[in-house]
Amino acid sequence: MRLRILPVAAAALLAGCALDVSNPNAATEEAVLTSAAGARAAAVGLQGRFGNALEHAIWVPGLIANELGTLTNSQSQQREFQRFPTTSLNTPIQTVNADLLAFWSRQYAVVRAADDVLGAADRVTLAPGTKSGITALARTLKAASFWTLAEAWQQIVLEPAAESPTFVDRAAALARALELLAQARADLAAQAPSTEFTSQVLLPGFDLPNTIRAYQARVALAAGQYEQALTFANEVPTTATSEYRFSTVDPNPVWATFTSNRYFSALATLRTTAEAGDARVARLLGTTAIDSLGGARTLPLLVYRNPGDAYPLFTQDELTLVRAEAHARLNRLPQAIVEVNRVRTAAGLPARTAAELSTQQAVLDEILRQRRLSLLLTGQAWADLRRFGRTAEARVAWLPYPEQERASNPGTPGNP
Amino acid sequence: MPLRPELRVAACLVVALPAAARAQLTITGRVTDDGGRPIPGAQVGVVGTPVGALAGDDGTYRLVVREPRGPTPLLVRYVGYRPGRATVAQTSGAATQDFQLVRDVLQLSQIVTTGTRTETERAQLGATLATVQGDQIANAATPQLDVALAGKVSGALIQQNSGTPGGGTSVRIRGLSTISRSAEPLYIIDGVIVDNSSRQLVDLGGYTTNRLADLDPNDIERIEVVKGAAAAALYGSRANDGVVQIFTKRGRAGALRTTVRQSLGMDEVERFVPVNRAPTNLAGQPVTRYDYQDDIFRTARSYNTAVNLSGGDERTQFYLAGALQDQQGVIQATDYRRQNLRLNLDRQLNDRVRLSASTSYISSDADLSPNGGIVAQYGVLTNFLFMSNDRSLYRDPVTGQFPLGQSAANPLDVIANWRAPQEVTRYVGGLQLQATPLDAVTVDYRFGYDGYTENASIFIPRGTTATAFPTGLATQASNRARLLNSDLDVAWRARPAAWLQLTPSVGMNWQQQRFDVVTSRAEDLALFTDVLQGSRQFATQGRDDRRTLGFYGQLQAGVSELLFVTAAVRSDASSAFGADERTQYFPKLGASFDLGNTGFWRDLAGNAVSRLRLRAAFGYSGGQPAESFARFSNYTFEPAGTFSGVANSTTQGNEGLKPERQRETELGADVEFLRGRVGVEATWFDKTTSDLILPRAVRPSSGFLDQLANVGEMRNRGLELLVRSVNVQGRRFGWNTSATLTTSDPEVTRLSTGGAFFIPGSFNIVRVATEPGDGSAPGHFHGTTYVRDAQGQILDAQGRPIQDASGRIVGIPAIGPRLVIGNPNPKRYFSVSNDFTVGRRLSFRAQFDGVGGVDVFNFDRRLLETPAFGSGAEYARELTGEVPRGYFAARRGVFEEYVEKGDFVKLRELSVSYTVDAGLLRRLGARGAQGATITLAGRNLKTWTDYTGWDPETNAGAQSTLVRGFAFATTPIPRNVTGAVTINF
Repeated sequence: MRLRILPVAAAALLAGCALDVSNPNAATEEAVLTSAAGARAAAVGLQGRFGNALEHAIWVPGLIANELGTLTNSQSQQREFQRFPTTSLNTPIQTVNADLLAFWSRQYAVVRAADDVLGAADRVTLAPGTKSGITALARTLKAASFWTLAEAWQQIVLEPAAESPTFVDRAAALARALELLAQARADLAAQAPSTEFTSQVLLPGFDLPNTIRAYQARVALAAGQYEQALTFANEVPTTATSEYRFSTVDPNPVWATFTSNRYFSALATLRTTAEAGDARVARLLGTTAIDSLGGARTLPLLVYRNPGDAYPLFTQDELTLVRAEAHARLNRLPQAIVEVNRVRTAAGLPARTAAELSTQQAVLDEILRQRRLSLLLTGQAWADLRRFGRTAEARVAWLPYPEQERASNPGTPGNP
Repeated sequence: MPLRPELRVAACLVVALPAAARAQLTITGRVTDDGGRPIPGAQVGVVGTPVGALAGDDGTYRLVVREPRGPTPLLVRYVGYRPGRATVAQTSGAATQDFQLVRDVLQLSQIVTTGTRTETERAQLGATLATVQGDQIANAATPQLDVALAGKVSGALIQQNSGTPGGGTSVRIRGLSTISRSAEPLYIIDGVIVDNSSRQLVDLGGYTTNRLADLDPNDIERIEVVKGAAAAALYGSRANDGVVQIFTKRGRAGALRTTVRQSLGMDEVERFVPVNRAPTNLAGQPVTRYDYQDDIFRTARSYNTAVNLSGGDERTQFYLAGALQDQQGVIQATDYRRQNLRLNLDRQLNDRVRLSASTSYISSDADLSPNGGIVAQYGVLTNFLFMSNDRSLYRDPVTGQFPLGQSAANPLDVIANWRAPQEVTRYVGGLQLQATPLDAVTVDYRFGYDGYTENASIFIPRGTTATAFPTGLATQASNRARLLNSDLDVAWRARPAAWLQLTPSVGMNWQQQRFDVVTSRAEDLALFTDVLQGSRQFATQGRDDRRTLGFYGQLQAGVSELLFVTAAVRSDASSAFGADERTQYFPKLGASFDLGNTGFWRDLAGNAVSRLRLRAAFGYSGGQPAESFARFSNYTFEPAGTFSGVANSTTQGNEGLKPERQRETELGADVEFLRGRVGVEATWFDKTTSDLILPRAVRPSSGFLDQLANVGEMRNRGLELLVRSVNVQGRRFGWNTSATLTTSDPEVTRLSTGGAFFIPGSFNIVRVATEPGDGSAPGHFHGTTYVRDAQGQILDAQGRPIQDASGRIVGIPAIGPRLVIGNPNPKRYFSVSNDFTVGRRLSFRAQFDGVGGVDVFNFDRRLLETPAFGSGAEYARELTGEVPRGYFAARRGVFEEYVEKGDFVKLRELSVSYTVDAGLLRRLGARGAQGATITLAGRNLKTWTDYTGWDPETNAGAQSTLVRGFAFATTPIPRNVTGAVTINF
């Protein structure tokens, strides 16, 4: 009887009733984290995340440290980070500020991506030189994020994957960053990176070994370890360069926010307080004010005019100034003056004499002045103000914690 | 025209059994109503057998029973009448049995299947289920089925969101019960679960079509609407918004019947918005002012040709129908064409197995015009609003060029040169195998397929007045949809004792929905062609795949025809649910206590209250996540420089995601008064939807930002009232009234952390929150307000009233804080229809629909009086000095000003039909014609409202769940007059 086909049909149908449908539109966790190709792709994606995270890491400290100014009246959340001469415009940084959250969360997106890469590198079989390359890369960028966070918040989270992670203070955060960078160096020392890594994973222009050393110098200086900072800075050859080469699909975030969206530009005070004939000012800044929202005049930026413009991961100027500062902090003023004069000369300025810079404070002031122009748009100006004891000039000493972090993490410390 | 019988049942009844030359009983008789009028089409059947017959035009029937084994029990059914029962004692020869059927004003005796799967009388259900007959839809003078249902189903609010032909329609059953999902009900056509999604493939503005528009209303036999969780539990996780089951017409044994229907219609906009007629501009210079509504709108014509043939023998029946719809839009250069072809076949394979097939092929195409909406800031009406009417937009007769618009493209240029063709090809097919392996056991298997491809495009050629696209823009998107469902039901009708009827049933249901959307785009277009070619070309693809497997078990019990109880539980497992919550259970319980069937009640109440039924139902249903893959933590494309990588999406997956869960209780009573002349159906419902799926903030230091999770809750309580009455029922004049009223007041009672949020794409006006009053209404309006003093006077920035003692406006209003300013969820909606018959040939129908307690955000008016544009009559007051300079510049910042009462009453349908009999047709030369009907019908002829815009009913958010009552450059619903001739051969 015909009815016999019914149970058969029903059984056949049930067998076809697979309910585990994977997402055809995006890669799954399994595909990425348990295959060699996935680990390599995640290491590329990590660099993309790092590139995205640069955006807030540059402009938020820049606004806070009077390096940058906002251009548009409509972006009220961005305005909260700036101190305006027109005092009625100065409103406190709200904990629900979306850019405050973005600054915080984008750094942790880098940390998460780095942890994904490190986890995958443990799990899958990779060529030894590829494994050492991607682990070193992951640790370097994770360390960079911890440093960025530690220069903006009093306490940060170091174990983001934990259920309810605890907050640690700045010293612990910087120590962790230094530890990660040391591990990254050890990775590369134990096994030289493969061609697969250097040609298919690491972005062209990214000098990983020297970037690690430069970051070690940067973080050691921040941590007050001056001899180490000096050592690390000296390990970088004077010809070394390292940069993130952006593209039209992964556009330069400074170009996107400054040139394309016209949210920010450099404050005119950078030009008015600079010495005459400073080549850096002529290279970076235009002369005609483009806006003066709330009494804060801004000048057009002459760099980052194209989406594919490269962004330096460190500069020789920075390393020179690290050396200068380390010497100065250790009260070796002549060596410090030699280093700071290298930067002055390169900028077309006359060298300073020991007579002109007779005290430690005078040397440090000169170093800060040079850092301000040499390190424009690197997001370091705010940390500099703090390190040089000029916190009062900054809009705030520390950022408040984003509301979303507090709502989901009971361990979040009180706001400054 | 008589109501059509339930053909599906009828078809079962006309089965011929193997001829036997033994004893046979021939029963003849006549079926009439209590006034002695014949009931043509009434179905007379032998209980428990497939033997049956239909009453003819004079009400007579003839039935042959072979080898009766005892007395023959007969049952007569016809919609609108209670069933008649009789037993013929004779076992051979010829017998006569007449029936006089009693009116069933509430149609409680109607057999329904939705929500129970087994055929059940409405009177036995604990939850209400609405039915609509096909002829009520065919005469509604609209080619869209869902539009035709407006006002015909109590509890359902049916809103046509746009007056563009083929434009979208929203159906809300018992108010809103979701925030993130589509709130449209589940549609099933002849057992096929069909897609009714509203995909905005290209950005046309506020009139995305919902795919139910593909159906031809001429084919509809009847519709059953299941409203609440208590009734819908058998559809499991897809039933939260109700279920609409549509049955199409089927053939019946007998001579070939042919129906030809031709209609011609005319549409026009009911009213224009008044435009600025001030003779000068703001600078005081004389200007010429235009009303471009004359150039944008037109009187549109439409025609519809439908032919259907049906017939068959006792084993095989067919229904073959074809229809052509051709409709112009009231906006210039828009039109819509649809071709439908349907073949329904039924075949009795043997005396226990019946096979039914339904196939439908649809092809439609439309020429549309981008027209505003909330996202697309371009289009015809949009550009009309975003400009001053003191500039000429007419084509330069010498150069042939259109002048530039003010801030967007010139609307006349858009009409003349932009193209937005849309196409749909669709096949809907269903196969049903019904078997009766044992006398009391039925096995029913259904397979359904719905597959379509829709293509949408916008072509903006080079060199139009669209300054944003000087070198042109072409976009085309296609959606390939394939839906499958496969259902098996087994039911056993047991009667363990004379007073007890038990029907246990079990079943399974498998569904798969797949979509594949490809969007392509070209810029800097190739010359002299209108295909998608340009120097810059892009394409993207997105796929969707969702599977659901359900099982259910149900027990229906009937005690002494007095108490009926239905208990069921459904389990649903869906690929869209997280692995940890894969299988969900939805129980339901319903009871009906039918006093009307007891002699006790008849003795007690006499004729005053002829029937009283009390009912109660309680149940759960579900709503699947809008996203099929929300359970996964995905790794998405993350470019780095010129390399391609992947990184975790900042939206975290949730393997604990489960469907939104609705719990509903409904209580009701059905009462018939005055010998069944007046019937009242009253229902109170209370539904709470918990586990609402919303984005939940995740700890940002985890590297994720949010996650879809079951975090919210909303509640809706209301009343549904249906009154039907037979006011006059004479031989020369008949008058019936039917009225419905529904109240609804949805409120959001819980949201995720972070609380209130604005709906994307609503200019930060449409909001969800849990504040008191309208602040908890889903999708309420939130915006700036007037500053007022204690007396309610509007104040200026200095705190002075802006009106002087005489009421003249002398000040400029200050802009106050953002507050809750309106609620677009109607508090009540109602419909009243009256049907009149005069003599045997003439009938009239009038239906009024209304909505009350609703707000509309009139964004159109805000633009019309914005000084930079100022095309509206209101703005002239500033130009003529009636209000101070700067008044409107300030007022446009006060959003409260533009929230208007959207209450309306519309004369939805007005029709007159005249039936021509065969004799007259023969004399007129139409040989072979059995009869004809001439109908003149009007739709939306008149609107009564205080709303000042084009139409309070349309919505720029289209079928959006939460963006409702948003008037922004949306085509008003036109009034329509249609003349139709139907000839039966």
